[in-house]
Amino acid sequence: MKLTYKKHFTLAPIIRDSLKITGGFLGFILLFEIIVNLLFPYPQDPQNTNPGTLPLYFDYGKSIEGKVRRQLGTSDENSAPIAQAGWFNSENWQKQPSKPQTKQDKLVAIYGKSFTNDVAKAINKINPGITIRRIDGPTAPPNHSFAAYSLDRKNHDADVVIWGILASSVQGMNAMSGMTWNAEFPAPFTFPKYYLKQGDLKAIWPSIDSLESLRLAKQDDTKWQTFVNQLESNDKFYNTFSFEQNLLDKSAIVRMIRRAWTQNDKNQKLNQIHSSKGFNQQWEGIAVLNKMVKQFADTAKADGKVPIVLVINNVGYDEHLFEAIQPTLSKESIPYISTHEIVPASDMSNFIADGHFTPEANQKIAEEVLKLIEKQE
Amino acid sequence: MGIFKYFNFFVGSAESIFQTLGFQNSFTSLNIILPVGISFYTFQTMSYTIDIYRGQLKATNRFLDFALFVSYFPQLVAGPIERASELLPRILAPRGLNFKQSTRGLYLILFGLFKKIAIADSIAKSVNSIYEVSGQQVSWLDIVLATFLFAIQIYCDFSGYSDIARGVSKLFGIELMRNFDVPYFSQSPSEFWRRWHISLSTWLRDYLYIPLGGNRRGNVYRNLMITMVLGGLWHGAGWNFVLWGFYQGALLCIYRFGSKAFSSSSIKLFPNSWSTAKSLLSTVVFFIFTCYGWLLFRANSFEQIATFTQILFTDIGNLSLSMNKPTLAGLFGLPLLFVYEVIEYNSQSPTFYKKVPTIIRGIFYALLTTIMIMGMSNAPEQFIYFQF
Repeated sequence: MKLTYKKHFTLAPIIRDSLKITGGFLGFILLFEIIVNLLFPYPQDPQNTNPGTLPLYFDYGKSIEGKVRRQLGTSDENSAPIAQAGWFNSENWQKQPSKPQTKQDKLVAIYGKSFTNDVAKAINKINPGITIRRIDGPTAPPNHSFAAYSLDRKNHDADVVIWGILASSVQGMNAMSGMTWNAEFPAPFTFPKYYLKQGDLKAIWPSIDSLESLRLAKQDDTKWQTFVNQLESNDKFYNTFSFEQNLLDKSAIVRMIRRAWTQNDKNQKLNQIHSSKGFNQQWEGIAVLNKMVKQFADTAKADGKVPIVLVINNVGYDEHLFEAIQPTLSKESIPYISTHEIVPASDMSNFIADGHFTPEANQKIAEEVLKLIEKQE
Repeated sequence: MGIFKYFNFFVGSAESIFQTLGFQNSFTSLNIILPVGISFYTFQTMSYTIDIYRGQLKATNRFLDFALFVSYFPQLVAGPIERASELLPRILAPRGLNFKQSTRGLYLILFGLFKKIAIADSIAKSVNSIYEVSGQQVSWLDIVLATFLFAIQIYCDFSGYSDIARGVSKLFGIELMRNFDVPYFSQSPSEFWRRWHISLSTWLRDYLYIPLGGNRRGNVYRNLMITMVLGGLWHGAGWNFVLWGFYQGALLCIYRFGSKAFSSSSIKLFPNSWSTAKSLLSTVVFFIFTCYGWLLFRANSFEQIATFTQILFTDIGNLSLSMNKPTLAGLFGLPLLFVYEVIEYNSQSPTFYKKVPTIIRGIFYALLTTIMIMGMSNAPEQFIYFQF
């Protein structure tokens, strides 16, 4: 075998060019980090809810723990508004009416989130004789609103109880906190994870159940670790990279990578639950949701209240949620309103830019809810 | 390809025609999945057979090499459509890898990813917010912007894929042909087709247009129309693709006719000293025509084409905007790409950046990477040409 070599071949220019390219590359990244962190810092004041577009953009990928820590003030009152929302038995619950304003009026207790709030406001606008008791949480999944209903059912004399279930929030049944499944805007409130055991509905309750206990846990490593371990075991949206606060939070590039990674991880999990054809019937959450719907109706009836399930089909979900729980609604003769029959999710004119219904759409839904309430009497 | 891609289309169309005529026929349709990339490897394999038939290529007796030519993964699903006469010899020849080739390959991959992730996927949501939803009141500005953005999206999506394919292939020591050459700087339809999806347009030229007679035998306009309509149909089994092909054919015919008429007359729209202004104006005007073609291509139905076209001509000046805004990555990426392509167009070299000082290149790579990372949080979109 004859060995050949090029006489003039030398590694020097290659090494020199590689070093120059690496230097230019790293220099730019370093400059970018400095500029972003100096020019677009996220305000540290928990009460500041308007940080500006670019500080918000470069903060999306900060660790969940880092964001939650920043939301916490020394007391509930000086914590961020999002940190105060959604907790069970909170001060907000105490402020809600427990009786109708007059004896002729009706009290309607409504559980859900912003979508149900909008409908509640529209109901009240059409018929001011209806007093509304609203219990909700930002981006609250059905397990939050179901647990809220279960804890609240003895606190009031409502004639009607409405449970609003939003199609896009059903995926949150795999979570235990508003932190994990909404990583970009984590809401720290917690809720139980439900599962079925021999056909019965069981709940795993979170070890942190109030803003105060969250604040205390942040000062006590053992309590915090217990909570994190609970999330790791039961919350399918939990992952260490998105959750844990560390030095990487300081890097704008890492924050952007973490944001993308977290979104991708969430989308992958969502794809296992829902596709363009509907919810995956094999996913245990569908059976749990059906059981929750049945239990909601059974307990409300036992309390002498009219149960109404408000099935909210939002953009991207057509009538998939209705299809998922329709067997239980029919079999148990549970009164319901499904928005796809009134304001279809496929018709974008029913929605505003942020994905909520237009005032006109809420009015139409509210009218149907009122008709149903009258029909049930 | 006829069965997989077009059987249901023609059966469905025939059924519609019969129903319109009052016949209630129900034809059998096939419940089959379209194999990914079928349009690409079918044309590639046809080129092999035709070249051998024409005596331009010697048949290979090495099955594995032929299998590699047909199923060469970097370009299998969305091209470039390689000719057997070009790719097979490269596969058969001994291959090596050098530093220059691998850095160029890595650069092409980075630039392709930048185009796809930072730009195409960033603006996809804006385009979809106008083209994909029903019941929405869209304005003139919505349609103009969404169509303009779709022109950018399809270019970045498709040329991004081609760049990645070429880059990956370079790492294997195999050169693939350049599929795009700054097409939106074209000043005429014929120039556009020399710069856009070059592997398809040259395939159609060599295996369809010239055999039909090209511009030497028979009716040139007929040849052009047949070639472009079939080219449109190649893209997808839908009448809007046929219409798009027809539109492209019509543009080529009108341009050809107009060029002949002007060259034989003494009328001059611009004095010779105004050549830059003329070039710029031609580019802008032709880009507008190209964009209308993309409206035909992107529309979901004839009804949408009719509605959007009507709005374009009757609702001029309605500047209300309901389209979703592109993400930040798109807003940073688009101007960067524009400047890059202007320099590339003027330098007439795809490797112009090599003349830039090395350290500046490092900065440029970091800028591309940073914007790409910003785009990574966009909802990922399937490559548009995967469906073809």
